[in-house]
Amino acid sequence: MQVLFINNDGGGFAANIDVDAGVTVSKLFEQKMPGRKPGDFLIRVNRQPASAGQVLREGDRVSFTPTKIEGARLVA
Amino acid sequence: MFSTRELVRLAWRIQATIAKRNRYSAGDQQSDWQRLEQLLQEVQFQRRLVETCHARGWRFAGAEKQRDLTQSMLACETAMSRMREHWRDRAVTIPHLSDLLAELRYLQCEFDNVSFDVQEGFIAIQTRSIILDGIDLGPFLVKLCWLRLAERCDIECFEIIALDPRPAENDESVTHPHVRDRRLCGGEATVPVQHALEQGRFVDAFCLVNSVLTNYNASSVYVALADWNGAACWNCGTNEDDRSFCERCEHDFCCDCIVSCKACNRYYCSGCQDRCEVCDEPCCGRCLVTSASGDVSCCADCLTACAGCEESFASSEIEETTGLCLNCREDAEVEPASPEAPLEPMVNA
Repeated sequence: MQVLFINNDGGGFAANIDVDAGVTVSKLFEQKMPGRKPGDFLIRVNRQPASAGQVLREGDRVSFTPTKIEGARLVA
Repeated sequence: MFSTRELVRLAWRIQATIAKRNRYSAGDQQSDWQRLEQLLQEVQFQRRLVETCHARGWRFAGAEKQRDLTQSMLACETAMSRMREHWRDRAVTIPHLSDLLAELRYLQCEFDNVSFDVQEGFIAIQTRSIILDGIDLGPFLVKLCWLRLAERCDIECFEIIALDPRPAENDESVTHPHVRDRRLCGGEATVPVQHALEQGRFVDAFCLVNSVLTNYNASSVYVALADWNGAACWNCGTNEDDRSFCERCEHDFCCDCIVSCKACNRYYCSGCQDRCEVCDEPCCGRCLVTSASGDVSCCADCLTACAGCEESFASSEIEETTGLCLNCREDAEVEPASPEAPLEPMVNA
């Protein structure tokens, strides 16, 4: 099945991806963000906060937004 | 919470603004195509002239027309490169009204304090008081100036306004280590914010900006938090108002830990400042001079010309009574012995 996956880390791309039926939010996070901690991200399904065990459904909109981002200074 | 009517009106205005950007873009592309066609016609015209010159044996005219042809081809190449860049950057999608409406509704769920003004063209969230490394920077208003989306889709569409400004001691325009003159330097968030705005994902854009504001990257800041309340002396750590900047190591020092060069008055810390080997006064490397012997570095005041060879030596190398350097003194000691000495008469036994 397909879900809209929005990765706001790095490039910040949004794309429709194929996932296995019955996959949970935490499983998708492990697959897409290896080595990262879920606690460092805002995880939303269909714009709502989601639990780790929430099972994804066809057409869901999943977004991972980092909460620890380093800013910088503009170099003139 | 805003009424659905208000949100629909706002979403519609934002959508119209983004559509305007695409219309501009389409107009630009049309004029680019026309320009390219004109340049291609020019290339063909120049090519025919070159061929005619060759056919008739007009060598000089042919060489001139060949140069014109090269210029036309270069202009063509430049125009094509420009078009390629524009096509790659072109914003194509206009978010659906329903998506924009959902974003505006969701924004109120994600943030406590949301406001907007259709006339002024902004949506804003208010952060809580931001405390970084124990320094309270106060709350901020994060404004998405969506009228700017007609021209650009990047982090410059945001304005960061300190509601209770507590700027850096040395720079009032810096209200946050990553904010100067209301402009946020997004660092790692710059590209994701751009993509979020292009796709109408305003909540993601706000979350990303909020994340930048609530984190501190000490390696790239306008003013470091360690220096927020004024820089401490790099050497002794005291925090005085009166500080000077070492031009060599580029750190701030208190007046006790920095000295000025006696010659040029440039300030260097005691670790970076050299000293004249003769008078022992502080003197920077630029002003120190090596004596003609190559053995002593001293200030210009301590240089003296040798009365014999007239080379410049450190005053410590010149004998006070004769005014001569070591070499000249040695020469002077040898010279009187030979020609001036009376010859002993040869006596035959």
